[in-house]
Amino acid sequence: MSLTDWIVMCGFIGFIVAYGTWKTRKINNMNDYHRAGRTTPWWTVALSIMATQASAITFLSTPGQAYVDGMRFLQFYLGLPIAMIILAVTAVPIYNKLNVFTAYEYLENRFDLKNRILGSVLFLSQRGLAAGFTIYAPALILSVILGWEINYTILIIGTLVIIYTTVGGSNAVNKTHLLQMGVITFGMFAAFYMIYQLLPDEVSVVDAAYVAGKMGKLNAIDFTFDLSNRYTFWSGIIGGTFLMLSYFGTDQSQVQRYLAGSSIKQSRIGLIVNGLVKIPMQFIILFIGAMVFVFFQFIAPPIYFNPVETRNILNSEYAEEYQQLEESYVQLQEEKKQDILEMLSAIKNNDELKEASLKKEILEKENSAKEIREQAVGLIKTANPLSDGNDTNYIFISFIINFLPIGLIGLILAAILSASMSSTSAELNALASTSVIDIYKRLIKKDGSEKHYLKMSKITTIFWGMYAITFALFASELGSLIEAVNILGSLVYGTILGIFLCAFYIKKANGSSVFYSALIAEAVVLYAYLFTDIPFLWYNVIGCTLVVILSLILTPLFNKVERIG
Amino acid sequence: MIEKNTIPQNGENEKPPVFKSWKRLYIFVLVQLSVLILLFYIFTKAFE
Repeated sequence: MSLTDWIVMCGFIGFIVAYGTWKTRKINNMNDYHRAGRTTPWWTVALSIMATQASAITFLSTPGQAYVDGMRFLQFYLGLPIAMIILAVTAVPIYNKLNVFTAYEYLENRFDLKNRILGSVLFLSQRGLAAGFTIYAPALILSVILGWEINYTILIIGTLVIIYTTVGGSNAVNKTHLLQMGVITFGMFAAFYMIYQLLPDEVSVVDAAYVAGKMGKLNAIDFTFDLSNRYTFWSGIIGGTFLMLSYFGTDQSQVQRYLAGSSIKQSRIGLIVNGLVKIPMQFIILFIGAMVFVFFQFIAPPIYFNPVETRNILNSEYAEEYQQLEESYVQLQEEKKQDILEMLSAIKNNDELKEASLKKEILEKENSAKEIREQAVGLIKTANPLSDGNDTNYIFISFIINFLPIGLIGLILAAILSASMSSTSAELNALASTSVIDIYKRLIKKDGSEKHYLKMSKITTIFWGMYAITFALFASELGSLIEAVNILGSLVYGTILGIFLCAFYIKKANGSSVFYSALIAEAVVLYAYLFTDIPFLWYNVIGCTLVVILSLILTPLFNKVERIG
Repeated sequence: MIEKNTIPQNGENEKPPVFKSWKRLYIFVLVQLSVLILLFYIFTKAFE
């Protein structure tokens, strides 16, 4: 990486951290620290919600996802606007009216203390580890591509986030989110413009779209009802609504963003703007990935995008076999390139017969290239059994490093690091709020002063930051733990959503019935995890449904017990 | 128990900007979603 890129990247990141710390250094009360003083306007709420959701891994993986699998991932977000409306109608006025600091505080108001503690503990248990993963994942990718020392990357990202989040709490998180989203958005459009510039002169954006479309990469909407297909219109609109409702309605890292709104109106508009903007934004990111795919139709891509794995195999006994595969792959790509140029010419001349026959040939060659790639991946996995054989996360960053001009590389790396820091800061802020307000203030020290709780909030922010860094530092040696973090999220999300659905929508539900239903649901989910082969994404549905159904059954029983008591 | 209603209800009856009611704004979001889905479907088919 050039000195200019280092200056651009460090300049942006340094400015964001310094700005966030300086602007919020005088914060001296809990309301400012945990809810940004409830003075946040709608545009900050909206950008902060988006910045929290957009982690670095999203920014790195999403274009790669389109490159490999097409744009169908877009459908994952179709439920988001519906979830935003539901939350604007229900959650926002309730949280605002009760003047809560955390989502779990509402559970005590609605039910009882034990539900509040259960919700808090479930959140803390999974979000603490997830914060570590949010730092670890981009650090791993950047260390592989740029040769950075992973432990230093983790320590630097983690420490910078801890500094401004500890000093300014929610206020600093919101203020830095504005700048971070600015860098992310600018980086995204700059990358798109550069891809357009890097396409061959005879290929326009429309031509590029035809190439991507004919090769199955612009499959944005699929109305087929197929349960085995992860991304369809139906899974997005039904499953996506539940998932987004759960994430935005019950996860403190998101709830905290709109709790900071200066009024119900500002919080609502913040959510609604997120609902209006998120899908077009994801469309652009995925379209960039599809355009990177087209770009690599004219310049042969590496057979495998992870350079460390490639170096490993070239130094192994399989090197010769791998190099032969590489040669075949490059040759096939060259033939495919000629076919693509001819197909574009046929499209321009309205020669439908020729277009159809060339399309068939291109797809056949694409399938042959895929087969060669699979053989290469097979060799990589044989040479290194620990390799997962998935290079999706390395595609976009490889393109940036190898093809973008000096200066822009630094800017896009700043955008990636900004995305990592924006998610992590929101997570640390939420973890600190829940630890202090729902656990410490409620159970351990009820009569502390404002100054004492503020001090404890800063200490817990540092604690959770160090916890996340420690997890991230050890994650590289505990590969399976990363998958465990994802599974851990699914183990608790369904139950938490079930508790909140009962709180919002089942008027008759009482505290004890919901609490014991949640415990049973959690036990069933754990049983499913330990003793069955049910895919972990289904744990959300199982946990949520069980809490709701069991609560409906148990409520009359507990009402009876209470009456007798 | 935690403190309840320590601040007055904060603008619950405030109208949204541009639209006459929240209901209309929510309908607009749903219409935009429908239009986007339709456009993305046309986009998928147009370049297929």
